[in-house]
Amino acid sequence: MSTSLTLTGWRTRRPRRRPGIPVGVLIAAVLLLVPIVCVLFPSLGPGNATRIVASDALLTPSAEHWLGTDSLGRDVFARMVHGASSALLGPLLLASVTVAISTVLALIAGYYRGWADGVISRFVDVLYSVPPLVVAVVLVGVLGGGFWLGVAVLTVFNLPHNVRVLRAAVEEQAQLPYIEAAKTLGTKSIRILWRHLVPVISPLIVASFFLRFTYGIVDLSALSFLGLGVPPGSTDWGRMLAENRVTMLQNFWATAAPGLALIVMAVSANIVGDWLYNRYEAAGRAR
Amino acid sequence: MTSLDTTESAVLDVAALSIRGRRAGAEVGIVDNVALRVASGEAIAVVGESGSGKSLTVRALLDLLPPGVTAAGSIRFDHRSLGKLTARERHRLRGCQLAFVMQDPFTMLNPLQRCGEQIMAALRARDRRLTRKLCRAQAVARLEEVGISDPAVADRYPFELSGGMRQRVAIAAAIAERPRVLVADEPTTALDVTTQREILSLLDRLRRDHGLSLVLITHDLDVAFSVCDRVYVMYAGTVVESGPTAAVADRPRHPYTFSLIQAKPPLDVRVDRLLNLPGGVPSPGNWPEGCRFAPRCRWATDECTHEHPALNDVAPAHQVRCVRAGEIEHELVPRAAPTVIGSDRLARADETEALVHVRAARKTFGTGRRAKVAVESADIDVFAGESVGLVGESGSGKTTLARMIVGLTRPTSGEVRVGGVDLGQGKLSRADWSMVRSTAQMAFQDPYSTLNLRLSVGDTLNEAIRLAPKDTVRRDPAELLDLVGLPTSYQQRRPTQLSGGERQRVAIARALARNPRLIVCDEIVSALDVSVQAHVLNLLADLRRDLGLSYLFITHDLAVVRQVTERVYVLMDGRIVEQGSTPAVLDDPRDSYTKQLIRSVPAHHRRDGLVDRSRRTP
Repeated sequence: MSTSLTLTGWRTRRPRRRPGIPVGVLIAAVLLLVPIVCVLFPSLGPGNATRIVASDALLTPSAEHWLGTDSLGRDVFARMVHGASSALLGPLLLASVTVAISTVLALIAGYYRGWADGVISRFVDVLYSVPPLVVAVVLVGVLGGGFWLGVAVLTVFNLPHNVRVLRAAVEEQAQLPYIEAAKTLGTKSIRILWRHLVPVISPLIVASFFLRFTYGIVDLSALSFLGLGVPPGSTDWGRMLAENRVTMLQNFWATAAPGLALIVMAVSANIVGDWLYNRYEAAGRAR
Repeated sequence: MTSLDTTESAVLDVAALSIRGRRAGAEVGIVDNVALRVASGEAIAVVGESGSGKSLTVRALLDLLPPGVTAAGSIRFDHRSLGKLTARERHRLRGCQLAFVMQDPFTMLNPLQRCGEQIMAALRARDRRLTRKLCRAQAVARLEEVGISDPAVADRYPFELSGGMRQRVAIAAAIAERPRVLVADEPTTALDVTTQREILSLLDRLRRDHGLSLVLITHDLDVAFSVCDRVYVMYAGTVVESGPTAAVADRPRHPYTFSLIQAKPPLDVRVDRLLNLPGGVPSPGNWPEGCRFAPRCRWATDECTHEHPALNDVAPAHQVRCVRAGEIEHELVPRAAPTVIGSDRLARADETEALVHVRAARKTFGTGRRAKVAVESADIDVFAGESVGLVGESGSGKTTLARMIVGLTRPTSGEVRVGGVDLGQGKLSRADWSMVRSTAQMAFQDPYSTLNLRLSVGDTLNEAIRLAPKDTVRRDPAELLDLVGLPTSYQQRRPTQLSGGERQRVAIARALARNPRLIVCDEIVSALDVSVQAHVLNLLADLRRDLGLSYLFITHDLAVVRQVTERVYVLMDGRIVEQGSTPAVLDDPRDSYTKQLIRSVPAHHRRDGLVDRSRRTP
């Protein structure tokens, strides 16, 4: 007999579902909880976030001021805790509303097709041709409406991408036999949408939510950084970045802390969302 | 051993091939100790149902195993051991000496490349520099070899060609470098029966003209028998029987081979009941101790469950993996006495009550000059208690017609009366729709998308039950599952936990929830393995007897039509070309298209020969 042969396929693919929650996801989830706790219990934070003590300006981190103070002598750590609310609530609202509206539009366009699809899809195409952040900068700048106007504008201009992704999924599913069987049995359209299509595209809805949330964090803090978000004087991570960057050499942490917090929150949201999507999606695979 | 399969003449010799993969974190065997031999110029078939390991076996030969799957054993190609070759040398061998054709003619070719380029890409300029012009001439010549005489095809994109044409182009690319062995994995499964016949004769001709050896992987015994010299039957990762085609077909010695032959609906006679092979192919990791077929085997004894039997010679070149092969030899006679049902025993239809009454129905898609006619003009009737076949190839309009009958699409013109309601007439009232839906329900082809994967079986059935009219019997999910022969506990299951056959049963149960009088079955068994197909066909016969159902059976498989219908319509290009009682149409077809369809069924080739040639018999 000849020598034996071993042929090996590449061992690249991870097993589909791993039992339990991976450590990385766990860490990300805990990191996401931190700003939530800060929002729910602002009193947990040390001291006053807005008290100006001119003599304490630009201190480096110490036992009294964990992250030092800014150029006006405000405690950076206290400002971080208070800033969590706008950093978290803005993106949360933005992602929720965007995903809710785009799911409804996608279901109508992808399931009913016809003129409704035409109207929605062309509307989406028009919106798609405009860069959201630039429009937000112009509108908020001109109208001077502040943070919530920024959230509203970004919500509208974040729709196109979501609608397109979800519409494609709805359209694909709507042609499958199980939907045809439901129609043949006489199921009402609204029930087909709610009972059949929404659960099937739910992994995508979850994924879209976390994606929008991540983009929301970055876009909204960019607006604040440009001075167009929250009103002057309020505590916000994006605004802290802008205000403290000129004194970065005196107190490095006054700039680094909000920047790092934004990055950590965005990355954590991404990791958790990705994990949820994979887990959820694997549960509904065909074979 | 006969001279047929001594090692000297073997161009491909596989011994002790084992394949292992991972499932749920544990290593499991997928293929176990398989030996195959292919002589120069010989055609062999590897036959088995899904899960038998046949595809992975040949993928191992080609170095095309999926990630995470490993193979060990000895593979010799032309006296050279593949184990001694480098990966690069094996790569070269694969393109030039060992060629591969896959099942799906729709995904096998690159959609963005013209057909000619794909053939030219297969021509490797190894020791000769080919000019572009010469290359193109070669591509056209290769196309001619596979029966495409129009050189313009070289400039077309795959999506411009039919499935059969694409399969030809793929074969042309595969044989471009004059390989010695061509491996074809289910090359005709996705094709219509007439196209299937053309591709099979093409493979047969190429083998003759070029001295090509052919390894054909298929689930269809008739396809294997019609083109191959020898057949290997695989079950649960092992070869259970191998031998010359005539011996295996006429005198199968393994109960599994016998069951496969018996479960296949015959084309020429109607049998009372197809062989019911209980259970399913055990998945890797769940192989039973002893003979792997024993749990499903009628002849199994204690002896069978103790140890895994060896592959023993029962006749020259005929090997069987069964300890009782000698004892049960005389019981394994295929279709010994077919219980033919005379026309008098066919169910009588009540011709006074037409459930479906279609006249001059026409359906076009699109408008103006680009309008595409799906159904030109169809007249069909289905009476209460009757089972009617609707036969045609893809593109004949049979599915569109079926969708019109259940109201999924409305006719452009003509009359489509279902339960007395004309679906061709404008807007229907709620009561009209309810009538249509209580009359006709549909079961679909693809078992993998017929159920919503997010709903449990119980939820799926409840969704259907709540739509049943208030004044009729309301069944509960347990009762529906019982009707289709599934345990009540299946209510909690998700579709992903069910096999293809079980999913089809649930789909039938769902259709029954509204107590319809007619079920439109659109190719419901064509995606199923032979033994599962027999289960479903038997189930349909039972349901008909118990519930007095009618069927409109849409299929391309004439043998299925023979088994389950009394009347048949033959559809071609949106027109009914022939109709009549099933035995009359199948035994004495009048229309040339019907004749061609019947001639193309592989079961016919074996008897008459695909092409004229002498066959070796043991």
